Amino acid sequence: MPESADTNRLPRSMARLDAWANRLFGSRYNPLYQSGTIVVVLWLLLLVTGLWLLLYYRVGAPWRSVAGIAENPWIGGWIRGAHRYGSDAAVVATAVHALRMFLQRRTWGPRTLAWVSGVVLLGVVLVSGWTGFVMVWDWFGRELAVGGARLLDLLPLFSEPIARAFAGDRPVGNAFFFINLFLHVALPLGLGAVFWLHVSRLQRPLLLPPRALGWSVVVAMIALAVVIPAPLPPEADPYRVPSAIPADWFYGFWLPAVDWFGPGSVWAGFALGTIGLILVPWLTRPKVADRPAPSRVDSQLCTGCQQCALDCPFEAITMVTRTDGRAELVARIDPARCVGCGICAASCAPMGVGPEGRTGRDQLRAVEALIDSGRVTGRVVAFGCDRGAAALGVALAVREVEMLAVPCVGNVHTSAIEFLVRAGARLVLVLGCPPRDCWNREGPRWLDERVHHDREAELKARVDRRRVAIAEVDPLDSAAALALMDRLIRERNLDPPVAADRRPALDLECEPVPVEEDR
Amino acid sequence: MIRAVRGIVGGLVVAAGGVATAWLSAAPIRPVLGGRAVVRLVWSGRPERIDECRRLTDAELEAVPAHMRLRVKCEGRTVPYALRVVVGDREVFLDTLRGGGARHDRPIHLFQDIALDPGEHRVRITVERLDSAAAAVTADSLPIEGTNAVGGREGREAEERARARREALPPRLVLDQRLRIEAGAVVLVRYDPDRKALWFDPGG
Repeated sequence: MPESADTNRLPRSMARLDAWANRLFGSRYNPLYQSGTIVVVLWLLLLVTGLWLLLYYRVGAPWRSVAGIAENPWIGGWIRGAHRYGSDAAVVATAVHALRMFLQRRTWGPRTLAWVSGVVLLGVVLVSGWTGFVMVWDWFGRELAVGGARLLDLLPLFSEPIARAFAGDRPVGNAFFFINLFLHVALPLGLGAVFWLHVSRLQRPLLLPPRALGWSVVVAMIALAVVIPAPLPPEADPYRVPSAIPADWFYGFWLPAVDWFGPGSVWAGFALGTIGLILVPWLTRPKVADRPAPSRVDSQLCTGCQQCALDCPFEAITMVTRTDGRAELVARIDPARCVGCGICAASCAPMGVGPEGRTGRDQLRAVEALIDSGRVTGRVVAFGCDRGAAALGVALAVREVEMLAVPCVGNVHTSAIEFLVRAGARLVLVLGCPPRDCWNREGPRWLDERVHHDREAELKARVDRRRVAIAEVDPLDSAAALALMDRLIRERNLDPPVAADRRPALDLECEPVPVEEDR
Repeated sequence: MIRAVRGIVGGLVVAAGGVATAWLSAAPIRPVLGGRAVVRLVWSGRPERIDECRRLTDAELEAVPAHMRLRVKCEGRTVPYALRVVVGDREVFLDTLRGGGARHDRPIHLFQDIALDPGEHRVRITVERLDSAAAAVTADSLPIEGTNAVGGREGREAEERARARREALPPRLVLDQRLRIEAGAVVLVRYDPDRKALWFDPGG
C-alpha cells in the first residue's frame, strides 16, 4: 500500500473547520462540502425571483419601478431581498467551493477543465451581478456604472469616453438600461452552458444538495430578506456626490480601488488575478514522478463486465471491442482522464484493472505480508484514506491497530477485507472521508455498496459482517476514532480473541482466468 | 454534542452568516469626492483643424483610381488646447486637450471632476489653442469650376471643411465667475457650441 502523503491533506485550519461543521450540521448537510451544489440552488432561486422582478421592472423608470417593488411588503420587498442576498450568497459559496478545490489540490490533470471553466463562471457571475445592480440606478448602481465605464475607457476602444454618459449633461438613455436588462437575463442563462462544461468530465455529477439542505438555503435567504430588508439607496443623481454610499461589497469590492489606485491598477489586478487563477492547474500539479499512476487493464483478465466503466467517477474507462478474438468487450483507460484513484480496482472481481501497485492482487499481496508478520490475528486492522484518516495511524498504533493507508477507500477491494477477517482480525475498520468530500468523488459510496448492497465486486456473504465496519472519522480526532473502535468491539461482542479459520492462499484465490477455456 | 445544542449552535452560526451577508451587502463605501463640492468639466467640442490644401496636377490625378479622384487634396492636423482651472488664485488643474481617436481628429471629449471645499469661490477656466498656426483658408481649398466630378464630391468636401471650421472651438475660451457650491453638490461646466462659450450648469 502507498505511504500517506501530508501534501494530500487539507491544511489543519480547514480540517478543523470541516470537523466543526460536521458536528453542527452532520457531514451530509455540511455546507462547506456542499458549497458547489449550494451555488446551483442559489442560481435557481435567482432565476425564479428574477423572473418575478422582471415583470415589474421598467427600463424607462428603473429606480422608480424598483422602489415600487420594494415598497410592496407582500410580494415585492422580500422577493427582491431574496434575489439580492441570494446573489451575495452565491459569491460566498463560489469562493468557498473554489478555495476547497484549491486546498485539496483538486485542480490539475483531468480537473483542469472544471477549474478553468469555474474561473469563467465566477467572472460571468460578477459581471451579471454588475448589470443587476446598475439596473436599479440608485447611488450604488451609478457608482458601479461610472466605475465600470472608467475601466472600459482605459481601453483604446472608444472615441468618446463611456463615463461621459453618466456625467449628468444629458439623461442616461433607455437603451443603456435595456442593454443592461438584456445582459442581466442572458448572462445567467449563458451560465448554464459554461456550467455544462464545468461538470462535463464527471460521471453522475451531483448538481443539487440533499433536498433538506437545498430548501434550507432558500428559506434562509427569504428569512434574511424579511428580517433585514434589502436596502434601496436614493435614486442616482449626477448632481450630488454622497459622502457615503451603501454598497454591496460582494460585487463592488473593486470600486474603492478605482478611486485609490486608478483604473489601470484595477485592470492590472483583474488581469493578474484571472491569469493566476487560470494557471492554478499548471502551478499546483505535482511533479510527474509524484503523480498517481493511471489505471491499466490486464486484457487477459478483463471479462468485459463493464463494472469498472460504470464505477469510474471521471468517465475515464470505455468498453471497446476486443482484438484478440474473444467475444466480449474489454475495458480501455483514457490516461488523460484517469486520476489514479483506484476505484476501478475494487470494482473488478477478477482483479484485472487498477493503477500499478494498487490492483486487487497487489492489495491481497500486501494483506498477505501483514498476515505473515503476525499483526492481524486478534487485532484491529484499519484502512485509512491517504487524504484523511490515514493521519490517525500513529495514534491508533498505540492500541495496536494496524493502519493500511489507501489513496481512497473506494480502492479497497472486498477480497482484501475478506482475507483479513478470515485471517482472524478482530475488526476490519475502513475509515473514509465524508462521501460528499471524497477527493475521488464516489469512493465511500461504492465501498458501502460493495460491502452492504452486493455491488460488484461485493463482499461475499460468507464474511462475518460483525467484523467489518465502515466509518467517517475526523482525521484530527484520534480519541473519537478510538472511541468508535471500542464501541464497535463492545456492541458487536468482538472481545474474545478470534481464531483464524485458515491462512488464505493467494495463489488459490487469484488463479488467472484461463483464457483458452473462454474461447 | 447533544442534538438540541447542536441545532441551536448551528442556527446561530447560520444567523450570524446571514447578518454578515446583509451587512456586507450594504456596508458604506466613501467615494474620494464624497461630501466635497465638485466642479465637473463635461463637454465635447471639435478641435480646430489646420489644413494644407493644394491642387493636384492632371498627371497626379490620372494616377489615382477614378472613383477616388479629387482635384483638391488636403492634409492637416487638429490643434491641441491647454485647459487651466484656477480657483481663487490657486491653479487646481492643468491639462492638454487633444482630439479623440488615434489621429486626434475626432472631437475633444472632456470629463473631469475637480473637488473643492464647500463654499463660495472665484473659478476661472481657460481653454487656449496651443498651436499658433492659423487655419489655412486659401483659394486652394476651394473647388474649381468644372472639376466637380464624382457626383459633386469636391463641393461636399469643401463644404465639410467649412462646416468643421465653423464648429471648431474658438482659439480661446474663458469662464470666470464666482460660484457657491454646497457640500456634496456638483456643478457642471458645459460648452455651448452656438454661443461658443463655457457655462456653469448647477443642475436641478
